[in-house]
Amino acid sequence: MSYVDISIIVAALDYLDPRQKSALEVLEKKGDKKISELVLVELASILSRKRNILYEAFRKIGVKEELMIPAAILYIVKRFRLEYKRVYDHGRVLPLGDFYLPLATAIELSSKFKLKTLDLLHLAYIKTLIDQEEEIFELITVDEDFKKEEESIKRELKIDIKTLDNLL
Amino acid sequence: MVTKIIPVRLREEELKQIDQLVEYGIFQSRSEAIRELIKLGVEIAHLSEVFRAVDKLFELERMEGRIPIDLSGATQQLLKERER
Repeated sequence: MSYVDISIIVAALDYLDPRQKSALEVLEKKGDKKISELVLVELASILSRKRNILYEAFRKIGVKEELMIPAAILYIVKRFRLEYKRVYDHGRVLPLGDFYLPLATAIELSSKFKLKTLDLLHLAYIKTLIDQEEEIFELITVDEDFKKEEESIKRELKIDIKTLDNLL
Repeated sequence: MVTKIIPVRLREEELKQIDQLVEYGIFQSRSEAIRELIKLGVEIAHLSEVFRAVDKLFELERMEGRIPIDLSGATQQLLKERER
């Protein structure tokens, strides 16, 4: 059971990236791939900035421009058989107050990892989902920054970090 | 939000169903029930359009033999953004 980072999804669709074929192979072969809303938000943001390229494909199939992003997201989720997992709860961060749980968890984890905001948030989502009894054993990514914190991530979250080199 | 009052003609049976929804406490009033059901109808129509677009993307992939979503150059862009 894997948590899929947006970087591997983007790499699989990035025909200029040398990792494209490997990323695609991994996404097509791996079973039980979970994603969070953060993955969907990052995907939406990337798609919105690739609007011009997307427009070409959507013009061919005669789909309205305003449906491009939701349809592309849904297609990608379905195409790679990704499973979107929702987070419901709020958490308390002392002495700051109530936060949406993944954000509260990110603040809690910040003392354990030296990661940039989005990387930290992905780990917070993974921890939140694990606490919600989702089975997640690994994070699959092409973002090498996670590798730098591999040991502490393994210790704290009991998950492995898998990049394309480990997966093929 | 500014709302406008419009006259709506409904069949006896439809009005009965609206009243049942109000009676069961699903909506507070006939007005709220009709408003929410219209919203739901619009959302369902929108969703059906999205589903049809997704089917067409799969069809396009079958025809062209390649995933039709092209994010060329986005991986480097994404990883660079995470550096910020």
